[in-house]
Amino acid sequence: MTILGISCFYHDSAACLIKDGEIVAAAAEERFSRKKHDNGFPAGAIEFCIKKAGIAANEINIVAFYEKPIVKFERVFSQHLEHFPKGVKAFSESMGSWFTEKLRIKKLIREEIKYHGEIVFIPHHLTHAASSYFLSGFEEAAIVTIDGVGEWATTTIGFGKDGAVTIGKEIRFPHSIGLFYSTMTAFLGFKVNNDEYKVMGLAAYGDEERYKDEVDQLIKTYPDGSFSLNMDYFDYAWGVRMPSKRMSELFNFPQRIPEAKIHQEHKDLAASIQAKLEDLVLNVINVVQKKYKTDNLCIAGGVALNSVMNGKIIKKTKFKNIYIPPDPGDGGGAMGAALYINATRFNTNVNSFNPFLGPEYFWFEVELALKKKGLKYKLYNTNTKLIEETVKLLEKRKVIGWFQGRMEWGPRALGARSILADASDAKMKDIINAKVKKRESFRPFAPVILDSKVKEYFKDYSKGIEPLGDYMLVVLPFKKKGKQYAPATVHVNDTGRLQSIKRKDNPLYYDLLKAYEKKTGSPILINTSFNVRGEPIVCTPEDAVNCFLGTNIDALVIDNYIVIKNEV
Amino acid sequence: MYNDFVKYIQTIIESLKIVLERTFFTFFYFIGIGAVAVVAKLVGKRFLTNISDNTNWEAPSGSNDLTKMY
Repeated sequence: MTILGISCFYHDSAACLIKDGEIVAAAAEERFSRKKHDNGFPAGAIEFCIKKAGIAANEINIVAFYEKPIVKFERVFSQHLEHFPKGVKAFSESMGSWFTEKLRIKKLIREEIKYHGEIVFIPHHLTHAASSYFLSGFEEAAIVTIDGVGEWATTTIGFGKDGAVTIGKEIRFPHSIGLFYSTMTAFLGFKVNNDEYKVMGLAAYGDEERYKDEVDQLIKTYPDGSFSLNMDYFDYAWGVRMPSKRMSELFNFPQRIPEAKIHQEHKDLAASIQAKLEDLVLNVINVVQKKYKTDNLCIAGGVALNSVMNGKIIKKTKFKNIYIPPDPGDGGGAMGAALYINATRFNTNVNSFNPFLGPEYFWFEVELALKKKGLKYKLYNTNTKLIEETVKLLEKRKVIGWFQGRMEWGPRALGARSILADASDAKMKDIINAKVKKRESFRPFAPVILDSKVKEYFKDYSKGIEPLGDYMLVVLPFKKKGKQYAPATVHVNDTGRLQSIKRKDNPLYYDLLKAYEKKTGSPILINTSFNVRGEPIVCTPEDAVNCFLGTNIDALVIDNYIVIKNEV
Repeated sequence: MYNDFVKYIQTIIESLKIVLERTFFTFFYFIGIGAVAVVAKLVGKRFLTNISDNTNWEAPSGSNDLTKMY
């Protein structure tokens, strides 16, 4: 049985293919189209999934779409009816795509992929819930999904047991934790649906008490975990702009212009927003724990990418085990839709899961990409020699583009399309920024660490949050030893968003880190995504070569080839 | 040269399409949405969630028929 899951038309379009109970392929469209957060029809991702499965489109048994478009359209229409005549601009700008694409999705799928079989539509938050529960390995678990908005729901709570997922309650638009955070992201001068993690990073520099009272005025919380937004401060229900003009009056400073200087007020507000988000989510989670009385929690929805919040769940709730999938956001909806059908129609669950589900390339494709650009390369016949050479480069404080095997599923680089560097020198952050990433100076770089060493270097780590570490979804405080060995990855508040690596998940990546530890005594490296600011992570060898040549990355380790910049 | 000309014409057609589309939807907004919204306001009908004093949780909405787009 073959199921194709699709998500598109909001942000982060993606496709996922399950064949006979196994996830064969999954990828985000942005990696193929090279348009960050691409929300168009995921033709490239679908083509890749079908090719990888070695089937023709008509051999697919079911296509599962990640939401119910007409219900979503009803919500959009209701927004405009409620707020007439304020929404004329948003209405005239957005309606075209509803009639040319979103409401024609069935026809579009048939035309684009030449498919004539069954198409099903799974409610948006049910796909989020499924994307977490069916990968978690838990027999039973409470499920919380939190995002901007799906059809109507913005937050849901439910339960998964024996392969069935049930949504118990929901909070509906316009009351949304995701849209609250996105609005504040816009107010702080960052890009909505892209830069929310910058607010999270900036929060560490601020005083959360400074704007606590003002932020409390934006959202009311109820003892039963629910919440409601004071819509006087939010325009997203009818406008193109998210914060209302009253927002500036409340905080006594104007909306920050993108790229303008960041002042202490912005940092303090970011801290207050982050604290409020944590309060809201932990409130929901505690209520869910009391309701469902289980040790296991599955979370999904875009808000689950807030790794600072994730790091506090075990400490501040009674849950002992947490699972968040590698892509908890809308892209993950494609996988959730496919997993839901896999479980409910075919009564099967995926046995094993690893996030390396994207494209991989043969050695001759890699060699061709290198030759096309006239690059001088060295081929290493064994992985041992390749690793030895890479460790030497890392020891020399070189910044390395690491391109190996199948691309990762989800927004994080997990060691297949990564930039790696020595973490023992605090200056490495500035060096990587100058050479490649050109990031804002307040943003930290993440550490990758051998799984067996996490407890030595980080506080608050337990078996229950292992999957969060695997997928780089948790921020934890460093221990003294961590700060000493990996200062380049220590954020201003002594925390780090770690990726823990086990050999079974990615042997080559693990062996590299192990060899590096043997040589230097440190089991930690910097791991950041292989891209430049504003672009998607590289997908093909050509993308990797272009990124290598367009930046000052010192060396490219691609398949078994190494290219060194000054030898080009 | 010929390709550039075709591209130029295509851009003009695309822009015209957008202008026409937006004009149509602006017209529809004031006539269609406007009429319904005014009547709804007169009879006190609300289209978005009404918040109660104690909770904002609601039972899940929507049909369970997966074959339907609604």
